[in-house]
Parts: sequence; structure tokens; C-alpha cells
Amino acid sequence: MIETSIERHRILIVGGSGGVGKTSVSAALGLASARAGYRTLVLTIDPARRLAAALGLDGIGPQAEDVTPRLRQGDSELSGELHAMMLDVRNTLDRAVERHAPSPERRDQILNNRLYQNIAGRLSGSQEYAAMQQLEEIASRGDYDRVILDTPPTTQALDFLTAPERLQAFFDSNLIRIFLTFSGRAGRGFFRVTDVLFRTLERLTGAQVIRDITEFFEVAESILEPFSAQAARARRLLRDPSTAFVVVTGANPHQLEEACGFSRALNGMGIQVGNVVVNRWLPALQNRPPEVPEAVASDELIQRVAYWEAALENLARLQTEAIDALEAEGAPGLVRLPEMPGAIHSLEGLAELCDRLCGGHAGAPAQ
Amino acid sequence: MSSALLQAELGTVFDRRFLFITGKGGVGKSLISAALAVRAARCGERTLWVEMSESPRGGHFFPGFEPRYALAPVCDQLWGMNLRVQPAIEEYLAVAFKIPLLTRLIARNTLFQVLTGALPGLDSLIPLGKIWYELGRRRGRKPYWDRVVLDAPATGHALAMLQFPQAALDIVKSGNVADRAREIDAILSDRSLTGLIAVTTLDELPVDETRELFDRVHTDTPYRFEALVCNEILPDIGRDQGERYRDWLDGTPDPELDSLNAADEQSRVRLAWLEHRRASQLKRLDQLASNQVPMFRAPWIPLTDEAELLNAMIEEFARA
Repeated sequence: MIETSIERHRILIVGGSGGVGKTSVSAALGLASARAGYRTLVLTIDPARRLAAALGLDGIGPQAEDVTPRLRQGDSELSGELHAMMLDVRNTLDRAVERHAPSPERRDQILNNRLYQNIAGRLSGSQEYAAMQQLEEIASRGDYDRVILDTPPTTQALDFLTAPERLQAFFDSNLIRIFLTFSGRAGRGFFRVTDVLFRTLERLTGAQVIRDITEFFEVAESILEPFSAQAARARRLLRDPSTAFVVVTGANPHQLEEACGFSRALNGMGIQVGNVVVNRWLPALQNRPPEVPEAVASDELIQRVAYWEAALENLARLQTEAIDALEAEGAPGLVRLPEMPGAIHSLEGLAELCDRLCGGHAGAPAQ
Repeated sequence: MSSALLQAELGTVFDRRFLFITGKGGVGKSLISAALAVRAARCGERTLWVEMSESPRGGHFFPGFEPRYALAPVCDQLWGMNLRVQPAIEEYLAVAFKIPLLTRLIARNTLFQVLTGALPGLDSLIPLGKIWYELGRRRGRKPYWDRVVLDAPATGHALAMLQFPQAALDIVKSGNVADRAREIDAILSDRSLTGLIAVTTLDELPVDETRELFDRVHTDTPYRFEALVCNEILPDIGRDQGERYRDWLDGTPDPELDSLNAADEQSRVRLAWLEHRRASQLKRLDQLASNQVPMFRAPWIPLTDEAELLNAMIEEFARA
């Protein structure tokens, strides 16, 4: 089913809550796509260091790195290419400013503005904004057959989508014009409600902050049009038929519930969900519910083993039932990934995860 | 410091009046903060548990409780709320300006909402301002709350919150924001009042992120984390018979253990997977121990119902 998604979609966006294995799944998807013969790019942000090392990504910047030769050494099936790139938020935004600024003076004014530096580094939403922008740039250049975006590690998966739109609303030219009109150039006290509003903001944040904002907008106004146009293209790209989300989730019922809500929200926004990947699933081994004994603190080894075996089986059943229910509700392209020993930090581990992703589950966690 | 001394310090940190609890997303921060809040409430303390989430978990942990901005009773001596920025701004303005109608008009203005939504630092100032307000409330001569437990956002935003007082004072020296920043700084620096607690699991990414958080807080702020909760520690099933247990997992016959259900090949592979993960957890536990921060070990509890999970975790804290 994952193969079908890769075949049908040029862009796969891997999303989900923090800590569910998004980066590993993204890398494995990239490998699957390269095996299918596509020239593939995995765009990731702050990946696990050992995963990065496994891909040969140690210490690289925002330039795409070709990891195909490394992968070919151990993987004869690889007919496509795999490139990997780490997202550098600050760099992406700076480059956009450089590209869109009408003059070198304007460019420097923006890059040196304190508010801009705040936004580029810290403001919630800037990571997501940069990721979308980077994706849009790459997609429009058409250098790759397939692009896989590993979304930033926000806990709230939906933030990824709403943050750029919030930022976009902030950059909306009309709004900024109103702000500029009442914050200095046209004089204040001209229109009372806005003046009160403005003074409230000033009391809330301090006058210096307001000056920074004003300066920022004065210079930013000149580059807003191209910025807005690019953001609008990014929003269209999200809803393009050749773009799909891969929602990654843990196997516990509350995680599945959250993933289900996320998928629904995506659909509501007109964005396709190609697959729901249930990661770290513990498959059930017996066909009837176990009796979990009480003796967890027992001094007898045999009783501890019996307890934990039953407890694991019980957990496995609860997870499996919840996944079955999700599938029955019609979750698109559901893939179950059983627990694997340890994190992925070698090419072999990645290849194995890729096999599991493509071939469905093997039944029991591998040793 | 010896490990016994470190451990003795843990209890005093958990008993501080204000607990700020953070950690990477998905490590069980909400569970741990809820358990610490219930623990205080059961000791008879009037406790406020504060979530800061777009999808709060309070309703899962406490069936029947609905987390909102308005304070609501959770159980005996425990109240809960979900601290979102927009309603908090409205309340903050009402307190700061004392003209409710005007502040409501301002706060609900779309332009104002968009601007405040994008202003750097405001998403730190507002929640911390609310905490400052709740900590300062009184009923008669006594404080309104004996305990405030904040389930703070994940590490990135939590770090920004801790950086906020100094960052704000760098920019503004007087006025409302500067006053608030000084008050918040006084709360966060007071080690008899505030306990900064980090939660992590012993997986690779959370451990890396926790170490980075400690470093950043150490270099960028005057505050210190004083307790680390390691969550989901896997069970040591073998214990004093670890060698025998591992041999059996590797396939050595053992007449007693072979009589179990678990002797089935796949069950044994599953138990071996657990033991394998435990071994890598132990290595990371060593890495974290070098931080010299007292550590609470919260076990992995193989339950999926969050209310049951919370009860089991409360028992773990009671046992310690």
C-alpha cells in the first residue's frame, strides 16, 4: 500500500505527534521510493544523530547530499537515487529575504531587524513556515521525482498546517498597512479604536517592541508581495492531488485516537491522507485474552516471567483491537509496523524498516 | 554529591509550591505532572494542575473532567485548567487595566488577536503571568493555592518560557512587561518556591533533547533543573537471576521456565526484545546520571487506559 502511495504521489508529507518515529519512517519511505526507481529527496529537520550518521548525513548543511552510493553498497535493489537534506530554518528564511528584497539596503535592514531575528529563530511557526517554503521551492524546481518531507517535531501535529497560515495572516498586506497607518506615518489618534488598541499593545509589550515591529513592517512591506505569493503557492501545493500526507502514530489507543483526529482535520482542510502508519505495534501472539497474574513484585523468577508475558500479551491485544477498530472505520492505507529492537542507527536497520513498511507485518518483533 | 543525598533531595523538589514540568513531546509529561498534582491533593493540599495544550489530556486522566481555561474541580482538593494564550490575554488585560468592557473589546478585536498571536515572547509572558497571578492569590491570610503544578509545553517552548524574563528585561526596563518579567524571575529563581522538573524516557532522542535542554538552561538562564523523572523504565525481570533469565531467553533449556506459556518461541522473542531494550535504557541512564540531577525512576506500566495508568503512576510516587 505504501508502494501505491509512492507511485501516485510526487510529494509525501510525514506528520504525527512527537516521539512516534516520524524521522525513521521518512527515511524508510525515501529508501522505498529510491528502490522503486525514483530520484528521491528526503527533507528532514534535526534527525536522530545516529540515523543521520547511518545515512552519511553527519554535519551537513542545507545542501542536498546524495546518499545513493552509500546505500548501494548494501542494497542491490536500488535503481533510483536517494538524496537527503536537513532543513535550516534561519538559512531558508534569510535566503527568501535575499531573493525577494528589492535592494541590498532593504535586505540588510530586514536581516538586521530585531523582530525579524526573533521570528527567524524562535517564533512558533517559523520552522513550519520554512519547511513549507523549502518544499515549495524544491517542488517548483522539479529536480526530484519524489520529495518526502519529515515535518518538524512539534507535539501538536496540526500546528504544522495552521502555523504557516497564521503567519501568513500576519503578513497580510492590508493588515500591515493598517498597522503602519496608525503606528507612526499617518499620525496616531486619527481613529480612536485603533489608537486604543495600539496603546494596549504598547502597554502589553513595551514601546521598543512596537518600534521594532514598525520598522520591520516598513521595510518588510516591500517584499511582502513575493512572500505572500510563495506562501499561497505552498498552500495550493498541500492540496494538490499529487501531494499526500502519511500520518505516523504510536499503537496505543489514545495515540490512535489523536491520529484519527489529525486525519479528519486534514481531510477537512482539503488535504489528502494517503496512509496511516501505526508504528511500534506489539502484535498479539495468542487468540484468547491472557489472565494477568497479580504477582509483579514476586521474588520468584518464574512468577515475574509469567506476569510480564501476560502483561505484554494483554497490551498487545488492546493495541491490536484499537488498530482493528481504526481500520474498520476506514483509515486510509493503514500499515502496521511491529516493534523493532532498538532505534534505527544503521543502514541494515533502515533497510529492514523499509521492508516492513512495504511488506506489511511479520507477526512478532524481530530479534 | 552521593546518590543517596541526591535522592533525598528529590522529595523536597516534588514538595515545592510551584512545579514547572517539561520534556520532549510523547514522554509522558502530562502523566507525571498529573500524578504529582494528585499526590499533593491527597496530602490535603489545595492544588491547581495547569495544562497548556491544544489537545488537553485532563479528560482522559480524570473521566468527567473537562479541561478549559476556567478553573474547574477535578477531584477532592484538586482543580484543573487548560491555559491557552488568547483567553489568558483577555484576563491579563482585565487585571492590568481594570476596565473589563474595554479590555474585552480590545482582546476580541481580530487585528489585536493576529498581532498578539505573532508577537515574540507573548506566548511566554502570558502563561507565566497567569501562574504569577495564581501563586499570588490569597484567601484570607492564607495563599489560595498550596500547590500549582504546571504541565509546561514541550522542551522548545518551555526553554523560551524560561528565557523570557531576561530576554524581556534586555528590551524593556520599565512598564508593565518589565514589572511582570521581574516578578516571574523572582518566582523562577526562588528555590524554596519553585521546582523545575524535566521528564524523559530513555530513548535516544528524548535523552539527547533532555541533555540539550539542561545545557541551554544552564547557559542561557539563571535557573536550574532540580529533578529528572525518567519515565517508562522497563522491568528488570531477571533481577538476582539475570544470567539464568538471559540464558533462557537465548534458548538454553530451563525446566522451570520452560513450563510457562512464555516458553512458546514467539513469546520468548518478545520477552527478549524487552530485555534488549532494557539494556540500551541502562546505558542512557548512565549518560543522564552524569548531570548530577536527582532522578526519579518511573516504571513502564503496560496499561493503555489513561485513568488506570494515572492511578498506577500515583502508587509509584507513593511507594518512593
